Amino acid sequence: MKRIKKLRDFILINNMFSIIIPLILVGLLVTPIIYDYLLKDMHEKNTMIAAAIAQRMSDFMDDSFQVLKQINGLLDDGTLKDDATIQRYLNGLLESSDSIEGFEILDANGIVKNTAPQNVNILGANRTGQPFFAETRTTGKPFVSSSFISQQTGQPTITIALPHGDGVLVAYLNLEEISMLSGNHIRTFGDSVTVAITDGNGVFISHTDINKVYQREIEANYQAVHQETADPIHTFTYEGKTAMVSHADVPNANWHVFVYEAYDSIYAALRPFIIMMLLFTLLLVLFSRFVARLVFKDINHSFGELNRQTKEIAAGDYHPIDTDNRFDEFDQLTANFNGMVASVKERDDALKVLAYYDPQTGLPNAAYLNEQLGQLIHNNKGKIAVICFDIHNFKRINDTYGPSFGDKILEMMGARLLALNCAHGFVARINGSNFIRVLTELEQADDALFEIERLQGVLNQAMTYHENNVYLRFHVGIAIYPDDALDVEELLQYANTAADIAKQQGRRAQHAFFETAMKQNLIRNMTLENSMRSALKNNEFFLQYQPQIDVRNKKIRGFEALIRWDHPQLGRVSPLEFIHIAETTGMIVPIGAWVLETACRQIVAINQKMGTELMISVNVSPVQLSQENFPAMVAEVLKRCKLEPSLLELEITENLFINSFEEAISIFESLKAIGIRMSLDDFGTGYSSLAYLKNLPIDTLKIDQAFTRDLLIRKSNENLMESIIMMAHILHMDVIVEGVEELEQLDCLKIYQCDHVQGYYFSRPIDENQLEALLGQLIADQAQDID
Amino acid sequence: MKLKKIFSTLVLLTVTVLCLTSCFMQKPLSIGFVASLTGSTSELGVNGRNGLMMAVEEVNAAGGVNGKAVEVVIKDDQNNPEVGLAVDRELQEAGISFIVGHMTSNMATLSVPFVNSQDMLMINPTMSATTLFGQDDHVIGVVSPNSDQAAIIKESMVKDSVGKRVAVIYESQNLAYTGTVKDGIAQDLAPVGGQIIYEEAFLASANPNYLDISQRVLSTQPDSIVILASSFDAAMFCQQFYKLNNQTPIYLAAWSMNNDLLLQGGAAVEGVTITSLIDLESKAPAYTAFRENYLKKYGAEPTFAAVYTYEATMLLLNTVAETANPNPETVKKAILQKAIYPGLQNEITIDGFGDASRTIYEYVVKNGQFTKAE
Repeated sequence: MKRIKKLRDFILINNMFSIIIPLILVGLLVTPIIYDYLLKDMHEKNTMIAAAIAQRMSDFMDDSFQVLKQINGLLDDGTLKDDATIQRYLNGLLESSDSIEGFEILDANGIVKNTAPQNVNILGANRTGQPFFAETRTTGKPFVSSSFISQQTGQPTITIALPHGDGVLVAYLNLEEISMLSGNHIRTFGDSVTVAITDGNGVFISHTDINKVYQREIEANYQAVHQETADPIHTFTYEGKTAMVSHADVPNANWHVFVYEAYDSIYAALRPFIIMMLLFTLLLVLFSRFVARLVFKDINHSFGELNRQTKEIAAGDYHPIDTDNRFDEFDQLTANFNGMVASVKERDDALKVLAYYDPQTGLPNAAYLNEQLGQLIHNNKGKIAVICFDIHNFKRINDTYGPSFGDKILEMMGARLLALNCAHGFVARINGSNFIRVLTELEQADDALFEIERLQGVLNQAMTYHENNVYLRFHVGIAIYPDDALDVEELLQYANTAADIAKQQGRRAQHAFFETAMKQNLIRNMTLENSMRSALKNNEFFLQYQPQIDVRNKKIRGFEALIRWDHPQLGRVSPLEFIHIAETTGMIVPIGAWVLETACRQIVAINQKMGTELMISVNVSPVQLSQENFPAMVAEVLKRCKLEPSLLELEITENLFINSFEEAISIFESLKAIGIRMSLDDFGTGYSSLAYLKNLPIDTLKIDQAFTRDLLIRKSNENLMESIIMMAHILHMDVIVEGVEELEQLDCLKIYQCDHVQGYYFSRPIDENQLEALLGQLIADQAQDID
Repeated sequence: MKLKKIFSTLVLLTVTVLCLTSCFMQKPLSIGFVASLTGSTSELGVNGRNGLMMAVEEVNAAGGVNGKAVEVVIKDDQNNPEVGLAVDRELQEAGISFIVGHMTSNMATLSVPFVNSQDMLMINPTMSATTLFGQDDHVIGVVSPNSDQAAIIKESMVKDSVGKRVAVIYESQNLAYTGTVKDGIAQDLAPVGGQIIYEEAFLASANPNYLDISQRVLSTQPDSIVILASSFDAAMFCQQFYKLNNQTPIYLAAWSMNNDLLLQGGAAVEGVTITSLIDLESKAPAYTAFRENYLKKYGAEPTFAAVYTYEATMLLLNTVAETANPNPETVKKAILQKAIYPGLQNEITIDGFGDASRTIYEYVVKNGQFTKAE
């Protein structure tokens, strides 16, 4: 992974490197050049010193030979004619010379003729073994010996010789004196150099360390220095130190002058340069740090500002970045950021619209409602009315004109509501045909009614699309915060409940305020819903039976099975109450199956016992009928109970046809195929479409008790009843009139040739254990009538 | 944490550097060399040092002793026993256990007891005083005892059929040497009826009057003259006898066997008989190579002092190289155990006392050159 570093450190370090590295490179380049220059300089200087000393030695030797020449001349010209004169003269010379410590005058046989200082041991000695005699005689040239320790002085000595006639003149030179002489001369060149002189064999004649002369040490690198090499600079190690050796020859003595200088002195000369270089580097680094800090201060400011503001943006505050900085790059960066912020904000807004607005109506949606209402509650600014208004029978509009028409209606509604510019709150579409108006700053509950009127004023006007005019009706429910509920969910629920109530109340009241009773009703419904499943298991349901009587002969046609619920806590629960709940929860399916089977068994049992062929009528919910396997289930039950199919009549209501007429026909046909009878219940309360009657294979038409009730009140009612019965008969349908409670009613129906009746006049719905008794009584009554 | 890491890195680095340094920079092997390097007897010492340096350079060029370079600490005993003792002590205090030296027998009187008292080993190139022999001491010699020289001189006299009256001149500072040779001659002459009829000592350092001594010797009319002195002194005496037209045969001991004798002596040493510790005409390959190198380096013929010191140094360094745990005791034991060593010219036999026995030669000066006697 790439290491993350601080920009400040990065700039400082790189700045430092950008100074140090070039300087080091320059140093690396320049130092060898300077070193080379110093080396050459040292070599030249030392060669000069060597040459100067060599010259000095050469002069010294010339001077020494000059003495011998002088003696030679004096001997030749007869100035020194006898031994005494010679002796005196030589002694005089010895006294005046520092370096010459002895003379010998040899004859042609090498015999010492004269010696100074005077020495009887040497006088007359034979020198033929000495090179200074043999070589001088042979070559006839001046001679310089190698060094030796003089037995007289015990000091290092050399001899020089000059031919004189057949003999030889010899002088003994003290090397210590020569050393001193050269030493004095060397001192003028400073103490960084060491100078030595060797003879032709490399043996030291002169050296700062006089012991080397005494002990006739040899210059260790004598041979190497004299070898011809490409590099004139000779480098050797002496006593652990590397030194440069320069040299010069003393031609008249075959001597060699060596000048040594340790490389340390070059390093010493280089040191100030290197120190200066380092100091300069250090200063530059410090300066660069200072400048980098200054520069970084500006960058840091820009970065800090950018950092701070982007943090704000990241936290959700989408404002453009505004910084003052000195760098174009930062301006570009800021501009880019601002572009990004703007596009994020735009997208955010679009998302908000998507998330909070209903695309169809352009109104806020449920999410918006929840959030805003929650916020309003949170802010707690007075009363809030939550007004729920639901389009009445919107589904039918859809079914009738097609879904796109419905969509268009919704769209138009949205446009009208938006145009209304609802102040104090907002209007939202929750789902389908359900709208919520949230009205704030409510002073009293009735204020909501003004708003409802205002809304209805707009919405009740005709909606026209493709030349179709539609007038909308609404159920309106109102819940008030904080009177009815304190949270969003409850408010919405209560407003919905109130709208439902308004719906149930029908046209009588187009709106309803939520009341506590509604809440209790809700709770009761919830309790029923929850206990319904266990109720079937615990045999809380039971059936009652109401007889259906033939009008003409008062013969019992059969019974209608009616379900009852004996709730352990709530007591008897009306079917009106719980059937609706069972249908919405789907529990109607098992309950209906139970009812069918129980009723079939009961009628089979009765028929067997009484020897009758009574029919059983069982109510079937549209929910049951929509079950695919319903006809099969019915056939199975019949088989199980061993009931003749013709003795079973299923009662259905018109609601079945609302969804799909074609589907209804197909279900009817499959049921009819089994051989059972079909009955249309509650005729006259719903749509009472003649189309249904004409096209459906209905065996029996059951006229709702509402007709029976009104029968005797108005003549027109009688006519309607008669017409319906006639129409049924024309369509080959059996007619059963419900709700017959009085004899007059029965008589009237008799006139209209009604087939069967059902009602309290004959019997209320009874328990199964009362069936036999009722049957017995009815048969007896019948017999009586016949009589 | 970070500091700890840096610290441990530094420690590791230091240890590594130290290890590498100790590996590459082996401590050198230091040996001492003591001889008279200044003054009139320095010829012997300087030649010895030259021989020693030849050996050391040769060993170092071949990679040193077991990888260690050989380093020599050179001391001048000024031919003075007390100075000799002082420099021996200096070497001992410097932690040096091996000494090559001294070179004149008179130095033994103080130096040998000192070396014996210390954990040191001295390899003696040229101290040949008979009294040094037959001692179980800390000294190993590569030179034959003086008695051998005395025997050669006596045999030369017998061979030359000179008379039996012998005069002896001997140097008294190096009496340890000259005395034993003189005594050896006297001892050897006795059985053949010879005797020393005159003897005179002189002190080289006190400007001896060579002429007077020579005149006194001649006045005793000896049949032969024996001079036991350094080459210079011997040459000076010969010069005097030359001046005095002496015809009496002169015999010299090995101490005088030096080029200086020829240089200083000239015609005066012509015909002199001299014992030599080396064979100047040797064709032994080791010697010819050595001689060639020596001539090249020093511009002079190697003397016996150079040869013997070279051999002594080689004996020491080779034995140290071959000894597992070299200290004076183990090296001495190793030398004694091996007993026979190759010299430059011939084998050196070392006995249980660490004393050598070698061939000694007889030379005559003829035409200014040393010529092996018939």
